[in-house]
Amino acid sequence: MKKVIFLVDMLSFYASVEKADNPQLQNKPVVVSGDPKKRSGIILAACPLAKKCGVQTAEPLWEAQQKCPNAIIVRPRMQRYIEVSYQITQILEQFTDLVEAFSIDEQFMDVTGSQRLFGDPVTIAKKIQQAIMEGTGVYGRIGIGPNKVLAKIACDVFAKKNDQGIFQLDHTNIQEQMWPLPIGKMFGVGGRMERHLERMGIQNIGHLAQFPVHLLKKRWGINGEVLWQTANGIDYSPVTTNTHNHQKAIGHQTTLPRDYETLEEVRVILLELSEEVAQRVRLQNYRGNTVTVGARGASFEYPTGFHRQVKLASPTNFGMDIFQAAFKLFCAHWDGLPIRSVGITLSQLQPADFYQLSLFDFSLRKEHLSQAMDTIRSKYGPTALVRATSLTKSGQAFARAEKIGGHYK
Amino acid sequence: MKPNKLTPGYNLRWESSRMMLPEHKQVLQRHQKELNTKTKPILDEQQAVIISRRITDSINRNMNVKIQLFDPYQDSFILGKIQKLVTEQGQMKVSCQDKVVWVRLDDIIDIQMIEDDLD
Repeated sequence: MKKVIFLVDMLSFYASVEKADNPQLQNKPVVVSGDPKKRSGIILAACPLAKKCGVQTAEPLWEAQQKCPNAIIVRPRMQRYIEVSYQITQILEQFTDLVEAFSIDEQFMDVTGSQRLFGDPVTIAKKIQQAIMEGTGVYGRIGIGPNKVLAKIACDVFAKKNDQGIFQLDHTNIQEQMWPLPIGKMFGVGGRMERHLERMGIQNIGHLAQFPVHLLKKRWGINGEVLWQTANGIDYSPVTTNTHNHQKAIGHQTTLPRDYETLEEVRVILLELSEEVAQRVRLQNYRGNTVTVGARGASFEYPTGFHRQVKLASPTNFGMDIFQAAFKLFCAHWDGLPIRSVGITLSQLQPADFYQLSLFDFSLRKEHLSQAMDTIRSKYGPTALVRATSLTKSGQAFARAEKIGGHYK
Repeated sequence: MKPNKLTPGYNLRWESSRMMLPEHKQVLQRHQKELNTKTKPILDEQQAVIISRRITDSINRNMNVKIQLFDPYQDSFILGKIQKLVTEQGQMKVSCQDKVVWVRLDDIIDIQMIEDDLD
């Protein structure tokens, strides 16, 4: 039986949630924006009324205000958006048990087996739109395809633009609908890839679909073939509910409130990030073997930065172990220029239930210590116990605890 | 061979490009876990009789037992010897390989006697 996959995408999700929660905003242009005094002061979402004035997502708040002076600015409430997204997941689960969140405002679903109960794909899509609107007040657009990649393109390129908010793309209409599109519109092709492909004479998706696949493979390996498959509407990935269970890496990254210029300052943030990573790794009962440090320079004109990793002697879930490795790496690779953002990741995760003990590292004491810290923090909050350096002016522990994904809860 | 983005049946193609907040992930993981919760079965009267007989039998014959306990998320078993039965408190004391645990009689779903030694 031919599969029927949906990609459900919420229209200006954050702004729509705010409008649904506060009816007074209903007919006014609304933008959700981070703190204008800090670097997060960019537009996270703009409602259709604000977009009509030319407001774009990710532009600085002051620019948006110039375009749309009467726009109402709302502070993000990340926790609430997660809640609503979860609520939508549950609504979708009334139609099928196969629902996979792809991001906070996009979810895949496999309705192949639901057609006898709910009707043909377009009918199901309409019912879903209605159910989401009734349950949350958010308008959803739905791309329909025989696999995930076509559902995604159907949604991004067509359903978002038409009045129905629903579009079906499959192998009968990709040649006429999808192939004439410029190559940059294809899922998986970013700005740089677009230029590369254009230089090879590939202007639209159809050109890529008919391009000899071995040449693409030769140049980009697996990713080349993935692109070619996308252009031909091929994708064998299942919609799976357990895709969020097994984690390969746990990391934290932060954009600093101002550029950090000295090693002493960066050291503070590295320690905080290490502790946060370690705590999350312990929470999920893992240990990790590889520490990765990434940093980005402050200047946009001359982008600098690095991304390096090191393998540890034995797997760990202690903040200090991660910090020491990370700090050493940072010192070795930092060019001394001001830093805009840093991140630390622990990967090669393995279950913490059993592990090779190290002869030279007395881990039992550290284990007790971290256990005690975790207990205190889970009882009294993440900032109940912080490193003394977090109290210095470069510390971010308190600011980070109030945020999700870099924005206010 | 290690699966890659082209391997059918795997989700790597999408996992590599998605954006998920850890806090959002946590909510979904909890949801998946709740979906699979089991309700406690109601034991048949005769089944209850069999279980209580096996408990006394194993104590009398000093034998090891495998006890299946109710757990909403997974099948849970303990292996050991029943040392003491305290019916007033509805509990029994079981010595396992390296520790002693108290088991609530209400939690027992099934019990099997084991012929050979545990060690």
